[in-house]
Amino acid sequence: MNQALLMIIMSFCTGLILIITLGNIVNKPFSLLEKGLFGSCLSLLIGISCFTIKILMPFIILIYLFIINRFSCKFSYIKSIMFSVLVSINYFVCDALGNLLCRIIFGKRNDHMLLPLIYIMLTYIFAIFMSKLLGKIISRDKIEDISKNNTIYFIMGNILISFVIVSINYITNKFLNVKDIRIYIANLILFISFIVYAIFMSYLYNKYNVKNLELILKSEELKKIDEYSKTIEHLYESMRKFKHDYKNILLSINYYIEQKQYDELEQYYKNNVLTTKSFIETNDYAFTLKNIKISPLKALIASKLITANNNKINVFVDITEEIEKIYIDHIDAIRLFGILLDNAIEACIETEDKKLNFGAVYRGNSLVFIIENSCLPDTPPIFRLMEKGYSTKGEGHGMGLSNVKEILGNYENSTFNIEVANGIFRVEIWMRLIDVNLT
Amino acid sequence: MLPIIICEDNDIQRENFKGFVKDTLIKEDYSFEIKLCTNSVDKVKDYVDNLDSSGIYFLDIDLKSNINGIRLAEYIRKKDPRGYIIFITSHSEMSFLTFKYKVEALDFIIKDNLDEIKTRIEQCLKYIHEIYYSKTTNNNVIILKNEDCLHHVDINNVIFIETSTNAHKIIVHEEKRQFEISGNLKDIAPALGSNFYRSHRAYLINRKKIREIDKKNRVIHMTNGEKCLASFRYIGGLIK
Repeated sequence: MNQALLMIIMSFCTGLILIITLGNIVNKPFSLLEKGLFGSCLSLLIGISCFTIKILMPFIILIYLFIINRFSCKFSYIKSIMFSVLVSINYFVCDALGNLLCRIIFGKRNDHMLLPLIYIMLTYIFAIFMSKLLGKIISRDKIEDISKNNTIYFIMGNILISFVIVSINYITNKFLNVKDIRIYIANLILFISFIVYAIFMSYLYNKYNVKNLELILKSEELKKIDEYSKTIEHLYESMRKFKHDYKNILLSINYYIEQKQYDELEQYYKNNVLTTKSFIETNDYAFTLKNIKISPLKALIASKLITANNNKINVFVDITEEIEKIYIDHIDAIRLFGILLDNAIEACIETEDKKLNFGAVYRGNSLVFIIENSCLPDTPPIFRLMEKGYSTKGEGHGMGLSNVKEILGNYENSTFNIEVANGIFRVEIWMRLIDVNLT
Repeated sequence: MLPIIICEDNDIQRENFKGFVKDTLIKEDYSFEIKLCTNSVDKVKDYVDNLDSSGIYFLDIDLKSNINGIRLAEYIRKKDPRGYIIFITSHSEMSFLTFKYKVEALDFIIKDNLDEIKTRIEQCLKYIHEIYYSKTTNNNVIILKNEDCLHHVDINNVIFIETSTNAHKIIVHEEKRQFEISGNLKDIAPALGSNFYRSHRAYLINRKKIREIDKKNRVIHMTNGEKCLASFRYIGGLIK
């Protein structure tokens, strides 16, 4: 009788712990309702399998977790499988740990009253702690998703190995009927040191990944600056040519005036000067970012604006004062302007005017960045554009403006304004100047 | 009565502009008056040092260089925060964003051809006339400040205001724009009048802009399509 009750309580706790740890590991903690619902379902299933076919239990757990991952958390197949395995392994490891500790504490007194309670509590504490740790490690770097997956594989591998070691130890000891508590303690120490080692290695690996990404970013930046320099040189060349042609034209005009050949002068003017006038007016590559003194930012903006130019967009840059510092993190700024400029380019390509204005102005205690672009009259309302996942461009897009909002939400000195008026879409980013040493 | 100040260093063009402005004033019978028409930056500075009311300023930025234009406009803006500044310039590439944001210039006129200039001057004066007279009779416009950024807001255009993820900031939603200002919903509510109702801890909505109330889910659909939340406590007050 007591046994049955015990099993029911255990299944209930197991189910609950599994769901909570799942929430922690995937960094999407469930609401109270969801916890109750999913937990009870799982507990029920575990309980049933406990009383019937014990062997099926791990499979039931795996499948159930997989279903939750896939349909409630909406992960891809691979991720769902990975996470369910990770959660299960985490649980079993902590369960084994709890078991071990209980043996140490209670020794041979298998029917001590408090045994089940302490056992459950220990398992719970370990599981929650480990799952939070795993969750933190998995979400550590915000830069690339690829490296995130690598980290998960790495951690999974480590935990798998620890689990294998523990299980082998345990089974072997059981098999050899080892009663000496010291062996179990030795195992425990081994096991814990291995876990610490694994976590430390994951951390190092993570750091390596981040460093690697920084290097990649730096080389990208260099490439962009290169492209920008080429553009400037190209511009310089055309300027030189123009100056040269212009001098010639002036000399000719001078000649006609001296000779008082006014008819010929008129002819010459119509045929030669008016055509060069059109050259003055076409703004090819006629912008300069010389006032942006922050290299990575200059590179990014230059690259985007050159792309715009290549798409026959009229780019106008208005930065009359030197910008040596921006008051948000450089990486965030690059992501920000990348998204905003991409949006602007995509929007104004479809219009007739094709105007894109980029400006930066100091006003009082703040620095404002302005991005304006011409847009079609049927542009969706602003709140639609800011919704996560909304896009006129199909699957996988639409993260832009909501990401911008998220990035800026981290900075209390920044403000984000949007306006759509008269066929012009304008975004303003205000940054209050603060005296903090940012990179 | 608004004074008009014209500053342009090319004599012929200055006379032209003066003529255009005069013609418009006579034709439309605006109560504006040309108080100063000069080529000297210093005379303009002296004028604003002693001014007694806001004015309309037509400035040529090419006064020696772009930077001088900015400095003069900043000076004017400091002394006359509500004045209307209009730039006339031959730069096709002038820094209109810089001027707009630094000194809130009203408009920019490019010296392309005289007819264009005349039309644009007329348009500017018409616009100023409209705002000037509607401002004095329109109590619905309030000024919301966010550090260095001033927003002129017509209360009737505000659909709702919500709290931002940024602490101490709120986001004002209008039909065609959204902007953040510092402050909180409690402090701003009195200034907005009785049409605004605090339906939720994070939302202050304009009753006139409600399209539909979903009582069951406690969601309020606004006229522009956006959704606001209502809390259990406050939804009662809305149904009335």
